[in-house]
Amino acid sequence: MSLLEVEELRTGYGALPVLQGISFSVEEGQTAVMFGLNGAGKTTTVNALAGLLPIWSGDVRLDGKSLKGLDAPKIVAAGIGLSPEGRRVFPALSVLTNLRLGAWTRKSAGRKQADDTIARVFEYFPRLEERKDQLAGTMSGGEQQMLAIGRAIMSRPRILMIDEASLGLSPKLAQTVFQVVSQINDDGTTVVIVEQNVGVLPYADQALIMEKGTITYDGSGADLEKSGDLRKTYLGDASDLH
Amino acid sequence: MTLAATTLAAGAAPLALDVQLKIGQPFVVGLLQGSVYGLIGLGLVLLYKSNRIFNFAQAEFGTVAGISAYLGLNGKLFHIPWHMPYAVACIIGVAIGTLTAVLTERLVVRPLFDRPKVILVVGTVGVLLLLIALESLVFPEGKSLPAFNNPKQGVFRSLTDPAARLGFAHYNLQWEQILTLVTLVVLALATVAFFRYSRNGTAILAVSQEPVAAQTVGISVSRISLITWTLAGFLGSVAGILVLAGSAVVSPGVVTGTTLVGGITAAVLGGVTSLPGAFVGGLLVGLLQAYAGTFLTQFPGSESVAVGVVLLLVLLVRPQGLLGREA
Ligand SMILES: Nc1ncnc2c1ncn2[C@@H]1O[C@H](COP(=O)(O)OP(=O)(O)OP(=O)(O)O)[C@@H](O)[C@H]1O
Ligand SMILES: [Mg+2]
Repeated sequence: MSLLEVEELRTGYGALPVLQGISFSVEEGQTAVMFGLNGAGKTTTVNALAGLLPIWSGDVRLDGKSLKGLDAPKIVAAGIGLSPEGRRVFPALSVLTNLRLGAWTRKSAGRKQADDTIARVFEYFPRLEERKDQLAGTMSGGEQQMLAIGRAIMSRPRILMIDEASLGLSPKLAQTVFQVVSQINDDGTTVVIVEQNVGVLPYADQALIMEKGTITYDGSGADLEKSGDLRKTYLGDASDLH
Repeated sequence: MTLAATTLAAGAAPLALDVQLKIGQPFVVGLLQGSVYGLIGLGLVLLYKSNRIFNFAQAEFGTVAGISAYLGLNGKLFHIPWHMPYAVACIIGVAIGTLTAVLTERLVVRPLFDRPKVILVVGTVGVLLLLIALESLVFPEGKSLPAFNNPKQGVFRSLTDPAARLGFAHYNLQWEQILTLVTLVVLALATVAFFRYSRNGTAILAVSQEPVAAQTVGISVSRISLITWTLAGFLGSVAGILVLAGSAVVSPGVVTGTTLVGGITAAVLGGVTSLPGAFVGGLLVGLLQAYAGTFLTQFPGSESVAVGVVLLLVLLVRPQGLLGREA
């Protein structure tokens, strides 16, 4: 059984359907990367998995248990963490408070455990420790991305989802973020990344391509690198123009 | 020489007393009125922080509380009059005022949550008008809530004023005023501390700054909204009872009429998102009104004009408010 199973998932906004019944699964311990053009439905997918959008039909299972009908707080508690599109750090709160809020659902685990997790986040992103008292809104885009990822792992999720990990980052910083994410993955967290930057491919065990609310490729990252499908998706071929 | 000195002293003494009175009395009155504005402003800022709206019904929760307390104290059920103990009546009043805020959240705010903010604001105006209408139905006008130390019904009956006055700059403070001031300041400090140090306080800030991200960390936005409105309703209710006890006549809409504009000015002076700012703003508005009313007696309406002028100046010169930071 896969850790994450998505089956015939349909959802959208108001009456407008976006996901037309998508299915895929992610094995425990792997890194899955989802590619796709703007508007393909990647954010819609991860937001639905995180409970920010209602599931119209189909099912989402974590470790065999259905998440259908659960709201966002329950899904976080069940073990899915999301670093949302646009980072969305709490701008007028300090870096440290942002991180502490990430552990909101783990209140019963106590402050000691939260402190341990914060220490781990600071190991991944030493820059955050240097700036722990700074207001999150005054940090650079790259630092905010680090904070958003750090905040998402504060809930100790079994699956970490990151929407647009490298958007707006310099190629060098993007590589750094990918490396840290791969380290988080090595430490035992399953990872799902939404990404437009093909530089992430070397880190991908599994690759997905999404087009117009459907999944058009689901296979290994290495195969995708060889096949040229990604090239077709992003650079388009002549038939796409009509 | 001696004669001149005596004359001077005799002439100067009443003048000095008069000046002290003119400084001391407005100070006390202004501080009192101002801390009520501050408390209303605090509730407004609280809801602004969490819902990004101004709640026009904020002060009216206070009228509801005051009327409920009055009815507890001197009410009738099927023509049988009852008289609850003063403290009990006040607690019931605050509870009903707070409940009104909770119902407002559930029945008006929640269903309009995802609509444009303007619609929510209009919703709170609707609540205000509805409350005034309901108050008119259940409450005969013209009654007043006895003071805390009212010898017959008050909760601190032994604190008889004439014997137990405390002097301040030749102005005699009454127990009523001292109690009100202390309660207001304690409440204001507690609210600020709630935001600075409590988990739920931080969560309210998080929801107000990034509602989507708040959900992604597992904060229940609807639970936080309910907590916020409960707290705002509580602040408004306490403010209402403090305003009404022992002074004003309780009538429909009275607390809105006497404090809403002051409360809004307080919130704006404080920068709209700063809780300490709103309270300090309230004190300033109260003092300003009191001194304008004392020294500018030749201009009718000088109290309101002075507040309006300062409000405009702050908006023009320091739009971020006097303290100028979100806290
Ligand atoms: N809040 C919304 N209301 C209505 N339609 C929406 C909303 N958010 C997204 N959509 C629509 O849903 C479709 C999928 O959007 P989505 O954000 O999931 O795309 P995406 O793959 O994440 O794109 P990008 O790479 O630009 O982030 C788009 O057609 C978009 O216009
Ligand atoms: Mg997106």
